[in-house]
Amino acid sequence: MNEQDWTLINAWFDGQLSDSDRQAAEQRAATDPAFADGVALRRQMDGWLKAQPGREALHQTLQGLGDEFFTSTTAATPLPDPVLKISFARRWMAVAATLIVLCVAAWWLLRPTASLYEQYAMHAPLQLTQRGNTQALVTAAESAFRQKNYTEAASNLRQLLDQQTDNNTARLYLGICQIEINQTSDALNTLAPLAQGNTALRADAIWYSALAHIKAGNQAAARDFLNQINSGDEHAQQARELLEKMK
Amino acid sequence: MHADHQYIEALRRNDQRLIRDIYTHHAQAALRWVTQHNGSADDARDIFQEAVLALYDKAQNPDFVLTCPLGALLHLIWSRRWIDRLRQKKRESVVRLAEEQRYNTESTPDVLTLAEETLAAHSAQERMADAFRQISELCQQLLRSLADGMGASEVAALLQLNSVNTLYRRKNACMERWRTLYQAS
Repeated sequence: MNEQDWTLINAWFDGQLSDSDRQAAEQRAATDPAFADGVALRRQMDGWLKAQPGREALHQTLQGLGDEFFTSTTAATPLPDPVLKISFARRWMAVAATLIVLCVAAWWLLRPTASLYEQYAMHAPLQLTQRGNTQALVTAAESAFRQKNYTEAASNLRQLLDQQTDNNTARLYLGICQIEINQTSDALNTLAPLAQGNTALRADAIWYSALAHIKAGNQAAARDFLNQINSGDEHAQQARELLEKMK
Repeated sequence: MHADHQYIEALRRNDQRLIRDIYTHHAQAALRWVTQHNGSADDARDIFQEAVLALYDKAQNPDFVLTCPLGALLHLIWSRRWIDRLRQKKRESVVRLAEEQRYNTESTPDVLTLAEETLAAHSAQERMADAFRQISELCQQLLRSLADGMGASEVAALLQLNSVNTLYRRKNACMERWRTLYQAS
């Protein structure tokens, strides 16, 4: 199922479709198995969310009953794990292996940048306003972005910006694409006019500048950008969370 | 519908008296069985609790009706889960135990099917929970607040989002991220 269908299903479940669009969605769910699967998944996710308070309450109930009904005095002693005789050489190999595992674990735990970026890089769908004779370019950019083909989307957006240098949405999303394809320096240059300006996309541009730095591993610079996001701005809550996590 | 279906309803509404009855009638059997198969009392408590939670997950399907004795179903679920744990620990006894379990359940295919469905429902719920834990705290708070019945404008204000439109845009992104993580798990 593509992202567009998923967006449609979400709008349907959130009551944001007109009557005719809702009827069309219902009809499609009855005839299109992939779409129906998406509907079933969304229903399952809603069900999971609604069941959580009940599940947590039940969990508490079961914890208390477990302590009461399961006592070790009535239980048989479990069989011990077999004791292995380990040679001296093998013992050193085991120590070496343990050290390697610890090093890998330490590397994994201390590499917060990639996971932080992935955790917070959630992009709203690209929706450009068509101006002049740019319909094909707009459609191509939106489609490529939806399909996460960021290289192609960046190319389309660049062409669009050549024709419309003041298209701030195109500029913001070009920056996002550049971050996604690891051109973080280019992304920062692209986003700079928006981040330093006073348009409606200023907070978005600052947020993505911070994410570009996080992806590049420069947390100090990311912090500088995150601190520029004021409460009430777009991404304010996420910025606070990120600053907390980067302490 | 089996008379024990009352316990499914009890799980759905967290009826503590009837849930206690489940423990009164079946906990000793679980304790005995697990401790006879290389487990401790703590193992038995965990595995029994997991079996009851699995039933709760299955009971989230409003169409689910219990058609067999609860004890038979619980026994199958906790023994399956315990065999899985032993398998993870690579205990030698696991093969013999799995064979014994297979032999014991061959005569009751309806209970076996129900146990498999219950474990599948439990597994799906666990995967969904894992994926949910991986999305951002903002997303978790947003989705929980809306699921709890808070109004969209109230949630937008709570999370300091500019408008309800922004809230729904954010919600879409959160749902998409959650779905992606769930389907990748």
